[in-house]
Amino acid sequence: MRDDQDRCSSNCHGRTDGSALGTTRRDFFRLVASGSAGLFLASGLDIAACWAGDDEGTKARKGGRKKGGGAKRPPATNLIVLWMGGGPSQLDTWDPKPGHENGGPYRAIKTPVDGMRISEHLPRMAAVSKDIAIINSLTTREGNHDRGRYLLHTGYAPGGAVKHPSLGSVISSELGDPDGAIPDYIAIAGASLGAGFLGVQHEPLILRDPGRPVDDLAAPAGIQADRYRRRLELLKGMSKDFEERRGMPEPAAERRAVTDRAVRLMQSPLITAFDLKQEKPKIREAYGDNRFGQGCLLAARLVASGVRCVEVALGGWDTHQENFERLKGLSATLDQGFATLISDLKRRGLLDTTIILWAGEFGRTPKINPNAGRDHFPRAWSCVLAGGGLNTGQVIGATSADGMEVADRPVKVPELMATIQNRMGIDHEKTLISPNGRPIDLSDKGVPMPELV
Amino acid sequence: MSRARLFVTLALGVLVLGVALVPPVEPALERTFARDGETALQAARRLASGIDAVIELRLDDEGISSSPPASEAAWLRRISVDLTGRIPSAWEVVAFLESDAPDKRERKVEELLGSEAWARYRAWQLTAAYIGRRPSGGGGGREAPLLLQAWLEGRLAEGARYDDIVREIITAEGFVDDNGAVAFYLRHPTPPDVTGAVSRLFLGTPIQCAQCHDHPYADWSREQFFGMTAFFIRTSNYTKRIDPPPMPKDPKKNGMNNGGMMGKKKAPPPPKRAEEVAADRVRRIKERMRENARYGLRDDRNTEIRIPQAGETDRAMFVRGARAAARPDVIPPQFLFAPIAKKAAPEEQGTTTREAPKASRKSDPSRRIEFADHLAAEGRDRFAKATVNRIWKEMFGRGIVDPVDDLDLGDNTHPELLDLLAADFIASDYDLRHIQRSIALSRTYRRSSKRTEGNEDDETMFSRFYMRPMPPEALIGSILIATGAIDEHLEAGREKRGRHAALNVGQIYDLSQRFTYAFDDDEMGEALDFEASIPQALMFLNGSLVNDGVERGIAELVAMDMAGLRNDSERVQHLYLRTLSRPPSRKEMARASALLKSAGRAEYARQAAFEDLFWALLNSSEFFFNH
Repeated sequence: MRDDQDRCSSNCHGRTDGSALGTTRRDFFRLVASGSAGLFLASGLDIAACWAGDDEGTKARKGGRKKGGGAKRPPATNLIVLWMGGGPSQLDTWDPKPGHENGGPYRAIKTPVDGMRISEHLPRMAAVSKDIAIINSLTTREGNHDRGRYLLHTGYAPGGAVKHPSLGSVISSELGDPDGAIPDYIAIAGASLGAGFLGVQHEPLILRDPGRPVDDLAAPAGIQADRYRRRLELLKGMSKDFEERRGMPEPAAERRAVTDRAVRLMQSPLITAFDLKQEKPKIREAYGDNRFGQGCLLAARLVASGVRCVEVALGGWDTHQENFERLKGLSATLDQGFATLISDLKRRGLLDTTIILWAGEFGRTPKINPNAGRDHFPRAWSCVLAGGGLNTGQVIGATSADGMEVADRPVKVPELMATIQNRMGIDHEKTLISPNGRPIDLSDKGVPMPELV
Repeated sequence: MSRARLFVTLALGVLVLGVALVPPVEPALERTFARDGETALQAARRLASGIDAVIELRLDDEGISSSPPASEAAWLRRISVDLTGRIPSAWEVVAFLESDAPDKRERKVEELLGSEAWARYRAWQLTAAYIGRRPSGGGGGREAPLLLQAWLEGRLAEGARYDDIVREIITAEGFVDDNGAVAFYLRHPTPPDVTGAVSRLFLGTPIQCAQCHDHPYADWSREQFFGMTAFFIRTSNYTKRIDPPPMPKDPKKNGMNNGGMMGKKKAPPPPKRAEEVAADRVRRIKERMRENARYGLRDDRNTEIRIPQAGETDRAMFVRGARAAARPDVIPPQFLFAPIAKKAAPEEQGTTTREAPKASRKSDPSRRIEFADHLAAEGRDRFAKATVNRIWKEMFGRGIVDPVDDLDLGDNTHPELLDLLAADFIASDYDLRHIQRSIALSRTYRRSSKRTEGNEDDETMFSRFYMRPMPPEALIGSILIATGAIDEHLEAGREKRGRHAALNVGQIYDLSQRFTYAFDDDEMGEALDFEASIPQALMFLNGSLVNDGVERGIAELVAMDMAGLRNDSERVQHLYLRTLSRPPSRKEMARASALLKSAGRAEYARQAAFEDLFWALLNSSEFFFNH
């Protein structure tokens, strides 16, 4: 009775919101039934047509930090993480093994990229394969949800006294605008991971539901601008008094900074970026009528508004049972959201400066268990990168015929972190000092992957 | 260290003399303490002065000056927050400031420690440390925080010893709807999870990383981790599905039973006290479980543990079957801090446990009982230290050893103080109130949070009271007190009006989820740390909890002309007492008068001005922080 399945049900679904799955499937089928799904299979062209004459959402972006002026490509300025909570099966997505007993029932389909074959349930991704780089040789040691999530967000295994910052917080700290109206790290439909020792300024702003993004963003009913101003004036006076009386305590100053930021957010014209209703219905539909799809659309809008890092979660990948049944629905949601995001970013002229990272906590066992499921498997698995001026249109590394081992070019998480940081013009060799005095490297001695940068 | 000990001894000697001069106190304070003939209060004063002796000696050594004492009002506010999770009401503040009783602090501490609010808040803080606040996962995990809190509150209110409470958790059996202690295992569902949690919480040893590799800094090996896990390897959660009861034959009759359309309309039930509503909620959860699925624990005598080898999954640690114990690679249970026992021959195993398993019993928790025995024996001192250190951290914002989970590698600034508190905790029969009472009465706890010349940079020596955010439950509880949503006299447990009766423990919990969702980082971190975030700031700025409270509170204050408040300056004073637990300064009073003057005479404008002042007070850092 006590097994991984028990553990998973209590450790991970709560974070990644299992409800997404049900909605996803139902809505997808409705979409198919209404015949509109066919429109999107054609990918880029139709999507582009939807936006003709639509300038909304492409507001002036904050100037990206220009670094290394001689480089042939400008550095990437933004990151979108597509977080696959639960740990997605690599064999049924990016590293299919048709014909092998571990391969399962799915077929593999060819893509325009030489040697890239992916699951038959990701046809839209096949159409944009030139814009993605698949890594099929990721190898880690953490087979527990919490630990895997920590590793993939921070580049470090958990343990010890240090709380490492997640990549989004590092980006916020290194590239973000502390005076900006919108936080530089936003997580959608999942709790993500925090700023660790980098502090409250770099914590992610967490949005539960892309359709109803921020609670309490509007002033209370009946409170007009003049009264709100008076309230803030009074508050300002009190804060100043208090901090002076107490000898300028940092916690109070931090809280004041966060409150200021919340007020700036309320007043900012950029909050229209949160409002998905501003998009044409066709575009909203193109992403998929579910939290993940709409989260991807919101991510694109936020990146267009200058937010440095956005994470969008899609949960439900912890498929200890009925892996193949469940992955059909998940793949459909993923395929639609991810592929549309790529086309949409391209259409907005943002793909070259926006890196997309697709990953989960770990992969899943190649061997299929008696419940037609797959269990946790960190030894050899896959992740995907897209955009950001990386060398896409390739598959990096390979696993053995049975999927049990990395057969070529093992990739570790710090390399992944260093690659992203390097491409974004962040010095991946930089060392931060944690509050208890321990030196922490930004990427745990990772080296940027030459294949990609 | 020896010098400090000597000093402490001297200080204690001085104190014994001092105690004789203390004026007599109420009989309630004269319960005898475990130590010969000492009353609880005497014991607390003795320990308080021991605390001060150690802290002050060290400050001298370091050349750090200490901040002056905080005002009486500031002390009252922090002790109310730390002991009962809420600020004092305006009336409490006034009564305390006006009292001339020489022992009014002692009386206040005793009143708070004896209140229902103490047991409730302590139960919340323990729950947060044990399993986190967030409802999460299946298998009863979603309800676990509420059920564990309710169980702990009950045990604490009954005056249970803390070591007994922990033993009951470790050895818990049955279904969570019968025994809330089982909830601990619902949120730590695998043996390695349990090992990690009990080591961290009860032994101050974060051993979890040794599951996968030898600990990088400490000396723990994988073998030791698995030796500890062997105590819990037999324990597993299970779900007992309950078949739905057969449909009633006559649906009409059923409808009538429920007071349906055909039946007589029932009068609405009378408004309930907050505690009743909260208890209802827990009762409903339990009923639902008994009707649908019950979550329980069982221990399988035939399960053993081995260390998974490279390439094997975690699951390979389980060795099952009648002959499991005979396998050569099975790891016997080995308590981390006990001398290493020789591995018993398989046929002798089972006799090593104190309670021999009864053959007839399906479930055999003897391994866990054995662990609890070790915890009380070889683990006793570490258990006491880990416990008092957590309390210290809650009341001072920083542990004596910090981070609190690691007694060995954490930064231990005052080892002799930790020893002193731990020894007293043991001598008091593991009385949490004794430790809190002693800290509350110490000079160290009474210091101002203001930096002073000569301690500007101190963050570790307790030269002043370190400012920190209130825990979510305390923050929300305090908003409810300040806005008058809960009656000032919490001890009576009464709500003012029926429509606010719904604001109960369960809802404080629900509201607190909004904070913890945003902050919950990783379960390896400290659940008690939480800081400012944008969603939280927006909740204060624009949310209904604060804004409806402001409107309601001012309507009472101005329109209904609250009894006893004769003019605007008294009303302003009342708002300060209610939110910041102190009267306004002259400057603040002048500013408020100017605000009201600028509003003019129109009633709505005056009301708006009061509302805006109240709103600003609730949003202020002085309200938000424990300081």
